[in-house]
Amino acid sequence: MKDDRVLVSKVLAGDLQAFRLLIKQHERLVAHMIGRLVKSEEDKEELCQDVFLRVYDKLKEFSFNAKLSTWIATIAYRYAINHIRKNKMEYADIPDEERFTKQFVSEESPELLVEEQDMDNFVLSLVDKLPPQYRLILTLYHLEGMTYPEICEVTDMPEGTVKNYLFRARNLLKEKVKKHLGKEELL
Amino acid sequence: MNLEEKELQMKIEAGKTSPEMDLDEKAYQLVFNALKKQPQFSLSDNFSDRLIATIRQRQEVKESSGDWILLTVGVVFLTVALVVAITFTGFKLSFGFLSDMADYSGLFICGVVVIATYNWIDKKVISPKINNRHSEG
Repeated sequence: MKDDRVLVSKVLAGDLQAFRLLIKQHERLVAHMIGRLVKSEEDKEELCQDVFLRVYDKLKEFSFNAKLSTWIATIAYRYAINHIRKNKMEYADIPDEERFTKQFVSEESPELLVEEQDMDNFVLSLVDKLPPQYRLILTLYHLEGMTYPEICEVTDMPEGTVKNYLFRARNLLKEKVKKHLGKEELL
Repeated sequence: MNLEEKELQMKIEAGKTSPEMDLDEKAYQLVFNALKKQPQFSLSDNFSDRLIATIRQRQEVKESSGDWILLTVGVVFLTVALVVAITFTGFKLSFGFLSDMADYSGLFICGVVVIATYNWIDKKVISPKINNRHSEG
């Protein structure tokens, strides 16, 4: 936190090299979040740039109530959501659990059965088919190692909802992998 | 939230797997392993350079727009000062010797046209010919 304070004060004093360091420290987090939520390859890097420009513009308002990384993640989340909504993709509603579970688990992807290179890539391709909220929470929890309170702060969701989404997302993936493993054993 | 599934997830997350995993356990293990894997998307190597360049460009535009604002304020201020000065000093604009020339305005206009014509001929006809002669020589 002390390092963040020094870095932020340097950026606010106009030191662009300090901002370059800030970018380096947080670009992975932003790339992971945007990369997981946004489908279009062309839009991903542009959105990441918009996020950091916003960080630069709003840095003077950051009051260290939370970690700098959490604050930046919140900005990335909001930009990703706006992008999804602007492209008329569904975000607001989590699909009906029972219906979605049946559909997700039963959906066949013949090309995956034939061409999947390894289980990791197979699972990650399944993650891309989950609702955006599930994808985001999986990314923040497993990839970025954020705690529940931090995820709540980024997404503005109650802790119960975050835990529920995390559980459901992992369960869905497990069911799909289990079905795939069952098929492999039959072959 | 299914309690059994929840406990299984917590068990796998804590690394407490049984030696002989059932299908559910194995599937969760595979899922958890995959979720830790770095995604394929990564930013280009010069991402931070381009970003810094964009910020610098924005700063330059902001500074030059500041200059234009100052210029506009200056012009407005000088105009107001001129109007105030004329109003309070009773200044009357006089064209001096030009008012004497009013009767010779036709001659004045003719002179301007002749000079302009000579200038045009010099630029378009004479100077190119002289330059060509020098280059051939």
